Order: sequence, then C-alpha cells, then structure tokens
Amino acid sequence: MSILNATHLKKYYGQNESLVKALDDVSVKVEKGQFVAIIGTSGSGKSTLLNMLGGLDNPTSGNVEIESRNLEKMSEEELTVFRRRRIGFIFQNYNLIPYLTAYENIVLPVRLDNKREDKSLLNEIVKFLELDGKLANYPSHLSGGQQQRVAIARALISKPAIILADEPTGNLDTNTSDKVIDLLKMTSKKFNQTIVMITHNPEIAEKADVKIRIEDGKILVKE
Amino acid sequence: MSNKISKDMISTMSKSSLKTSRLRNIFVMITIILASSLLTVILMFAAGQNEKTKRDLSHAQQVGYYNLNEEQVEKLKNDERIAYQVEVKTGTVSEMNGFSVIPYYVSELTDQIRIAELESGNLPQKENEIAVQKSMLEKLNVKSEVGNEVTLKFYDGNEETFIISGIIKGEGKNQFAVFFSEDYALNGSQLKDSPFEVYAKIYGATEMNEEDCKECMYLIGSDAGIERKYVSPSKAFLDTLSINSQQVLTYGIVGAVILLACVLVIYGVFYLSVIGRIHQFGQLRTIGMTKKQMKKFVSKEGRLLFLKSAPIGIFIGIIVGYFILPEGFSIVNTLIIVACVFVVIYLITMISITKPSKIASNVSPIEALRYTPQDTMKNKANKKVCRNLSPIGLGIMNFSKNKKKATITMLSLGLGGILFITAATYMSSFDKADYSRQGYFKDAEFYIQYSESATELEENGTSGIQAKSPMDDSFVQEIENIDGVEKVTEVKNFGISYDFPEHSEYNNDDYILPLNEEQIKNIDKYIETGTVDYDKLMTGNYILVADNGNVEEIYGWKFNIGDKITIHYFDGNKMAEREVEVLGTLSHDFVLDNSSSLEGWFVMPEKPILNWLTYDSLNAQILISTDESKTEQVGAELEQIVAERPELSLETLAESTEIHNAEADRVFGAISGLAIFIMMFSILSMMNTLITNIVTRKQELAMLESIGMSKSQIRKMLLGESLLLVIATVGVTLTIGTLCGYFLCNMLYNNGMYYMSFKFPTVFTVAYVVVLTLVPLVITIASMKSFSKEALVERLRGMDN
Repeated sequence: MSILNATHLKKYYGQNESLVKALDDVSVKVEKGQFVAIIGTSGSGKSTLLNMLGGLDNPTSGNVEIESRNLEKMSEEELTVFRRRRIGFIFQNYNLIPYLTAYENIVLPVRLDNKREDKSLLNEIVKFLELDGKLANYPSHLSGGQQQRVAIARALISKPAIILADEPTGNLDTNTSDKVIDLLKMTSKKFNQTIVMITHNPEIAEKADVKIRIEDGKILVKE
Repeated sequence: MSNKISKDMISTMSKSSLKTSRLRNIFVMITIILASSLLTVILMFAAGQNEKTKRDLSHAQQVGYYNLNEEQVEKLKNDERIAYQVEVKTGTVSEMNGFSVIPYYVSELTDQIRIAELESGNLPQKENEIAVQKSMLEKLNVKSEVGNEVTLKFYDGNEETFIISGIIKGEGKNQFAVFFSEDYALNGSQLKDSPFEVYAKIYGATEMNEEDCKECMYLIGSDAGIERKYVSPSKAFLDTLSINSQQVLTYGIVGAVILLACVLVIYGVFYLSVIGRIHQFGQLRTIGMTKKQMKKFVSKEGRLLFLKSAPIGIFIGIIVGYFILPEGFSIVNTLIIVACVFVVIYLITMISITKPSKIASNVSPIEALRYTPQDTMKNKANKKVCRNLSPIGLGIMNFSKNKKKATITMLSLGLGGILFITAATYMSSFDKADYSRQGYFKDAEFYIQYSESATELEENGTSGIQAKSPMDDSFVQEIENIDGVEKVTEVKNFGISYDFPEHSEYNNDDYILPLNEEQIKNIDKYIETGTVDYDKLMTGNYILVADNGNVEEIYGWKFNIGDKITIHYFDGNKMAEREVEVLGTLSHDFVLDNSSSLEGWFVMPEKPILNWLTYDSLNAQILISTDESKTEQVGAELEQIVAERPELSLETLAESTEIHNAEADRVFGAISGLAIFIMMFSILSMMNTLITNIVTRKQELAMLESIGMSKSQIRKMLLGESLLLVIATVGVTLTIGTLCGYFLCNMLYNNGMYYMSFKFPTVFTVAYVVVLTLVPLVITIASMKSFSKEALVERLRGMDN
C-alpha cells in the first residue's frame, strides 16, 4: 500500500534564460513502513522535493498524495491541520521551541490539535529514544543529539502517516549521527513508521530501505 | 591609518545596517523627532512667556503712586531715582446709552509707560478739548475726525461739549477711555476733585532683587509724603525680578517626563533591535570584530539616526513654538533653545543606547550558532510537567519568558498612560459650568450690586446708598415675582470707612461682613488668633478681622488683638462714628469659604449693626437663581428693573461664561496637546515591541506552522501575548492614573478651585483602551499578512536571510 504518491512534480523559478528547474518532472512512490533516503549533492533539489512532499511549498505543477489525499486540493488551513495530524517533520536544526521544555515540545502538535497525548505511546517513545530524565529540560540545556531525539519524538507522537526528515544529522558529530540514524531505522521498524529522509551523506543513505538519488532536479537512480 | 580604515568600515556597516532595518529607524526617528519638537515647543513657550511679559512690562509702569496732591506730585517729579513718570487722573465712570465712559488725564503719551496711543491728532491741550476712541464716536453717531464736536452727559448730570483733538487707537466695546487736557484735569467737573496718580519707572529697577526694589519704591513714596497703602508696586514686574520656582518646577517636571519617556522608547527600540540581531553580532564577533568596535557600530547607528531626526524635530518645534506665542518670539532665545535641545537629545539618545550597545559588544561568537541566547532560559522548568499549550497559553509563556523586555515596554506604556489618564481626569473633573460660576455666580445666574458711579456720587459712601434701601424687601419681592426666578439670595455687607490712628490710616473705605446667629456660632473653627466671645461680639464693641495676611501684604502691618479702630457710617440720619476693638483674627479658610460675600477686612454679627441704624437692610448684592429654561426671559426683565434704578447694576452669568469658557478651552488645548504627545510615545513603544516581537520570531512562527499550528492559532497566540501586555498596562495605568488624577483634583479643590470635582474620565478611558487593544490587533494581522507573502519554507530557513 503506497502512503505517498508524488507524480510529475515540477518546481521552476524565473523565466526564459534565467529559468531554474529546481525539480523537473519527479515522481516518487513510498510504501507503508519504508525508510527512504533521498540523496543528492547540495543544490540538487532534494530539499525542494521534501518540502513539496510535506506541503511546505507548492509545486509549479504535479501532485502530491498522502494516504490518497491530494495536498494540492487542500486549503491552507486544511493543509496545516493535515500536516499536524498526518505528517511529522524532523529538521536539521531541530527547530524546537526554545521556551518550551522537551516534554512540552514533544506533545505540542497533539495539544495544538486540542487533544491529550497517548501516555503509553509517549512513554514508549521516550524510553525508546532514551529521553527519560531530560523531559523537564529546555532545549538550550540539551545536547545536539538529545535535541534531535526530542524532534524525532515530536514527529512520532501524533502517529503520522509519514515522517519527513531534512538532513537530521547535519548538525551532529559522526558518532551521534550514527546513533540517530539507527534510531530512525529502528523507529521505522518498531512503529511501522514510514520515513523519508534527505541526506548528502552516502554512508547514511546506505542504512535506508530505499535510496533515491537526485541530481539537477531529476531522479537519477532508485535503488 | 589602520584605525581610520576600521572606522570607515564600521561607519559603512552602520549605514548599510540602517538601510536594512527601516522599521526600527522609523521608530527611533519618530521618537527623537517627537522628543526634540516637544522639548523645543515647551522651552519656546516658557521663554516666550517670559519674553512677552518682559516686552509688555517694558511699556508699563513698575510702580503706581495713588491718591496724591499736587505737592506730592511735584516731589515725585523732582525725585532723581525715578527714570520715567506719567501723571494721571482718573474720574468716575459715567453710563451713557448702552456704554460707559471713564474720564482720564495723562501728562504725556510715552512708549516707556504706554497708557494709550494716538491714531491721529494730539492729546488735548485746551480745557474744552478731548481725545477719544473711534468706536465710541460711532456709538454717538459723530464722525471720527479731529475738530468735530462731541457732547457727553456725565453721571452727575453735567452735559459738556468738547472739540476732538485726537483719535485714540483701539476698539472698545462697552467701556471707553476719554482723555482730557491738563486744564480740564485741574478745573473740569469730572476730574478736578480726583486725586493725582503717578505711574513710574525706577532707575536700575531691573537689576535689583525683588525686596530691594519694593523697598526702594516705598521709600520714594514715603520721601514724597505718600502713605504706604497708596504705593502699589507692579506685582507682574516684581515677579520678573525673582525666579518663579513653581513655574520652573512645572516646566522641569514636564521636561523630565518627556525625556524619561524618550529614554525608555529609544532604549526599548535599540534593546529589541540588538536582541533581534544577536545572531548577526555573533557572526561579526566570529570574524574578528572587537567588543569596542561592536559598541561603536551600535552607537554609530544611534548617532546617525539622531543626526537625521533631531533637526527635523527641532524645526517642527520652532514652527509650532512660534505659532503658539508669536509675541514672545526672540531669535536669540530660539538659538539658545535649539542648542540646548540638540545637546540634551543627543545625550539622551546616547544614554539610551549605552546598554544595548554593551549587550551587543558582549555577544560571544558561539552565540551566532545558537537559536536564542542561552542565559534567557533556566535549566529546567520547575513546576508542572506540561503547562497549558493552547495558543493563548503559549502566548502568555512567551510574554513572560523575557521579563525585562515586558517591563521596559510596560514602563514606557504605563508612564504615558498614567500621564494621559491624569490629564484626562483633570479635564473631566474640570467643571466648565462651575468654573464660570465662581464667586457670585456660584448658585446664581445674575447678580445685582451698587453701580460704581452711584457709590461715587453718594456723599455718605456706601452706607449712604444702603440707607436708601434700593435692595429692600420690596425690591427682592419684585424679583421673586418674576416668572422663572427660583431663588433670590441677599448678600449683606455694611459699607463703612475706618480710622486706625496707630498706623496713621484715616477714612479708609471698607466693609463689615454681617453674620447671622448661626454663622456666629460656627465661627469658632476659623479662629486664628484671639477668641470668639459671643457676648462680647453681640455688644457691637468688638470686631473680627479676616484676611490679615493680605492686610500685611498691602499695608505692611497687621491688625492685632486689642487694636482700637474707629468706624464711620451713615446711620440713616447722619454720619456716625464708633470705636471698636479687634477681638480675633480669622484663618484663610474663612476667606475661601466666604469668597462670594467677603468684601472687606471686618466681620461682626448683624444684630448689633442693625441696632446702630434706622434702616434695616444691609443688602449689598442680590444673587438670582433661575429656572434654566427661563433664564433669558428673566434676564430681560431684570435688565428693565435695574435700568429704572440708576444706583444698581446687573452682571450676568452668560457674560462670565463666555470669558471663562475661552480661558478653559485654552488650558484644555495645552493639556490635551501634551497628553496626546506623550501617548504617542507610549503607543510608539508598544508598536515597536509588538512588531519586533513578531518579526524576530518569524522563524519560530514558521516552525510552529510547519508542525501544524494553524494561522488562526498563531494569531490567537500573538494576540494572547499582546493582550497580556494591554491588560497589565491598562490595569497599572487606570489604577495609578486615576489615583493621581483624584489627588490632583483634591489638591486643587483644597486650594480654592471649587470647580474641580473628581469625575472618572470614562470617554477618555474607553478611547485609551480601544486604541491600546486595536494597535496590537492591527499589527498582528498586518505582520501575519506580510509573512504570508513569503513561502513557509523561506521563513523556515531562518532569520539570517
């Protein structure tokens, strides 16, 4: 069953001679539970693709469907709510809210949805990500790895259809990077969670179930 | 050399940095413009008033000597201490058809002591010559040309014809000055019995201190044989010789408040601007900018903004200042003020940005990598595991996370608000109707008194008129019978003259305020010195003195307990005299509480006075209260009644209201101007805080949006934050502002301004709250709209772009 289905995505900037094709007719299909890595050099279009998949940016043309729902057809407000419920994000710079504790950061998307977090799921995630004892800390008092694990927990808590991770290890040292990627992979397995991650590091990409190489806005290889 | 290169580099950076943050520049510039223009206006107003008084006084006498005989005039003429002098005689007012005329004689028309100015012709030389105003001739249907004849019928029945020798400048309305020749002053019916007056200027008076000058004036008088009470130093002139500490204090406080508000706003703007650029400063430190250079960088921005805006503000201030008081404009004063304001505002700007530039210089390179400065957050949250994460809850959390920022904004907002509400309370508590109803009009729309000319004409003085009882019971009854009259109050005052040989005072006109039984019983609370022995007072041999302080000011001596005074009055048949002894003196409160009836120095029970007289009415004024809807009608009837009695004159509330309202409007104008200026400061500060708060959190807001916070939730969160600011400010402002207003009103009331009665300024408060609520609403919506023009991804990329 495909969770994500993007077809003929194009993102063009400028016109005529200054036309830049950030994405040029890209189609991607991701099955439930897959851990997909999109790999490419800087400026290859991988971030643009991820942003399109998460509804953070609009394509010039083409469609993105998540759980058979077309993002293009949603209003901005609907899209925001859909993102809150069905898409989890993990950013390179963690993007945690500085004045909320780790705990509050994790449960924020659920609370914004006017719901209470699933306590047992939360405990499971916290335990799994080894965040016990850190929940009352503010982000500025957590290490980079810990902050990224909080971000992963935040992405997981609302049981999204898909997690989109944008260079999640970009700010981390090799050791911590490895741990985070392993965690992501384990997360994917344990929670049967679909994850799409972009990276420029081939070694990290190796750990994914599926690798998509992108260059100059086009998909070169899909392994 | 290398120093110059780095200096140039910093200067270039400051200029470019200013170009990139227009909003902050606008805020700082408006603040500096407001502060400098306001300060310029206030200083120009203060200096202008002084200048105007000085100019006015340069054409006025410094001292007047009154009630002089020819010998005294001669002595003054030969006194070498006097620089300029003009001899004057003033006659009795004569009522003509619909206007009145005051006869004058002046020895010369000089610019030094300007009594009048000639439009054409000359001052009268011959006994039958006269100089008059054009508008009076129009009323008499006489062509205003020199050489024409004019006939005047005076109060004493004399009808005389004069030849016009000159036309006097100025437009009179109901009362006209008429100038006669020296011959007429000595022999003419209207002036021959009037004593001379001399208006003078003393050599070197402007260089003396107030006391010396006053002493010199009295000494000149006593050397010419003039009694102290007939020496009248010009209070306005004497005031210019000493610094008016109250005025200095008022201007000082207003100036200090403006400067404080200015410091708070400029500090706030720069503080937030620096906090918002920590990232950038960190980067600059990383690439090797020293702390000192960083400080210079921020200071330079401030200096550039100051140089751009202060001249504009000062220019606006000069224009406004000029138009507020053009008569007081002086180029020298203006130049001094410009220099002062320039320096003061420069210092204020620099002081305001000292702290922010210090913060900037203390940014460590590592901070460039951080999302927010580390020290703003504690290590752990101490209370709940999870706080309220609703949009409003998040807003409150963010608001309280930076207490310093919130405090600064609230301080400047609160200060402005408090001043605004205090001013508003003053205006709403200022009862315009009561203001015009001061004195006799307190509860009345009309009052009737003895006309000046009748008193002059009566050889037995005021008691002579009183003996004729023109305001007797039947007169009162007649007024009471007019349809629309609600109440008629009789104000009693007994006209006497007194001798006080101890101080060589003889035949001084005065009044005794007669008190009824009840008033006498309550007099105890007003006693300042001496006692109130009821039995003694009722014998009629004892008297009380009110306003002894004023006696001392005028005569240089005070009444003391046991002093013997001889009073003269008309008992109905003849002039009688009686010796009375001062039993006690009354406090100033008595003067305040009886302001509408107390006319002289003395107070005693009514009963013994009536025992001395064959007549039984001591009425001196009649106060008439009317039904509001019939006031005009009553006025017309009263005019008729009074017209039949030449010894009476009628004063109306309507005339008083017109004059008082214009006065009140001027005061209100000045106060609202100041309050609005200060409010603008506060709102500016609030807008700055709100915009900076939103702009610097662009990335954070985008982040929240990316994880699913909807736009309406973000809006709610931001509004929640501002609402908290508004609620706190409104709370502080209304409590302290209202209290300040209340105390101000009370203080003014206790100082005799009975038209001040505390009234909560509802309209102003509602307007204030509405503005304070609308500003954040508009800013939040506008900022979010401007954000939405940028794609979420762009915003997510962060503040560095």
